[in-house]
Amino acid sequence: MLAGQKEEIHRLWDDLSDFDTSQSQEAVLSLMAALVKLAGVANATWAGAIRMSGGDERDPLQGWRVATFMTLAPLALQSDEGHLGGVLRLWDRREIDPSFLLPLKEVGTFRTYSLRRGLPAEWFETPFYHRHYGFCGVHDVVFVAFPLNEDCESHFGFYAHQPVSDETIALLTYAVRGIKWFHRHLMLSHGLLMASAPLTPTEHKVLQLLLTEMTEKRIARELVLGESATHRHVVAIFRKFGVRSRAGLISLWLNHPAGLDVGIPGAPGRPD
Amino acid sequence: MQQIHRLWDELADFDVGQCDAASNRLMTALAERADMSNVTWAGAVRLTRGERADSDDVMRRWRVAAAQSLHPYIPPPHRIWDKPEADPSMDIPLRDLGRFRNYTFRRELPESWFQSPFYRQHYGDHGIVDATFVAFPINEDCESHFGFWARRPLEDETIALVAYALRGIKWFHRRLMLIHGLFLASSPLTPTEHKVTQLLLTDASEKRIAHQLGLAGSTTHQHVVAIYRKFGVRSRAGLMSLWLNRPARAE
Repeated sequence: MLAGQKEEIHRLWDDLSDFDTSQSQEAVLSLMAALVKLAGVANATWAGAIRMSGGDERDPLQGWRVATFMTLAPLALQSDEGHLGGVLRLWDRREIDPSFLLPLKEVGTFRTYSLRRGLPAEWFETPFYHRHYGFCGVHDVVFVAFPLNEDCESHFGFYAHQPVSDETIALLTYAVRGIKWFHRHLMLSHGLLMASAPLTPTEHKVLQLLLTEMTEKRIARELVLGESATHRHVVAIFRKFGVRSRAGLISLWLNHPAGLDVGIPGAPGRPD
Repeated sequence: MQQIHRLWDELADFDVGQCDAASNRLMTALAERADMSNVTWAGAVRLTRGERADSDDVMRRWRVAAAQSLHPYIPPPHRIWDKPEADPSMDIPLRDLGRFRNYTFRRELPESWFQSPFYRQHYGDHGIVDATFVAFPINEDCESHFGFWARRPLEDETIALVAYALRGIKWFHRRLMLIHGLFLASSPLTPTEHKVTQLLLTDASEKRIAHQLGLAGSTTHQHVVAIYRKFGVRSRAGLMSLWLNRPARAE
């Protein structure tokens, strides 16, 4: 990797740390946009993956599911059945395609994997590839996975219309490697860390504003919600995180209770 | 590089109230890895207009407002900075202010400087042969400076290693400055206020904080009030929220 590229990534990290914690959505989108440009790829996605406990021991996907998903450019999602939405639905139904096993290799360690490097050439001839990737010109996808603990991982995906070089993979790997604090904030903001259940999209929005000094009334107005509906969301968020107050909620961003990022009792993936 | 990345991971695992422990871990790891006899940290701030500043101020209003040292036996640079004397070594930190930078005695200063009484008194007599510094600006009025002190002339690779280790963690430099009241605060915290602040960021009650620091309850409360005033917040939640990046006043 060139020194200049490294410094560009360091500046991206600087920018990330300048974002308000309540703007994690804006922060991750700006990171993805910058990396798409730097790596010359077509699109980027972020997925918060968690492992649910109490599942079937024979589950080839070991209880893992994508609890939160976002994409930089929506264009590849034109057909919900066709692309990523479809992949995630099949994943949840455990209709296993060989590509689903790629993320499970060395799960729990920081790693990079890609469709072209991880799957045989025949796979790119299958209807599955064409239906979910080939139809919109996606030639390869590079994923970089950052584990926060054994039950929760932050995955960035980079979608390319052309073969991806080793240098580009090294660049993307490097960019995602150095920011554990940010992966942690991302997972927290979606209720995938230290919460008993993932947040709904609306709860996520309310949570972001709860991290500012906005009153509940202001939050309701900002999100065009009723005040009582907003209050119910706040109560639900507090319950999921097991806190009693806004200060308790904020302290989750500052502290690692029990020194470990494990969920509260009964949380997804926490062994009982 | 992998070792440095693991070190960054470790830093991210510390609670914000354990800032001293986190910086100690960082300094220890780098001292070991780069074979340094000591590592120091200095939070530098620029005095605002109106504060005492002579027209002949050699440090151009910059002062070390908080400092930490891994090992106490070597005089940390802030002792020198308290009463700044005009010396070529005092100009180096002021070059390229506001930019991430790295400067090293043996690279920046002429051979003759190492014969000077200034060098001998402050460094040579304590066995320091060379030192390299890494400066991370948080904004135009505050910078986080790490110093690495060695008993040998420093190699290029060593200098590059410590500079790299400190380049990727702006979030941590920011926390260091915050916890000492050098950023978003109207004036630096005293050493006791600094300790109280670290505990205010945990879930310890004021009573527990007093007990832990061996202070009277009323004294502790006075510190808490002083801390809130310096940061311009009204509550513990307000204080905590500064660590979420929300500036109490314009940065």
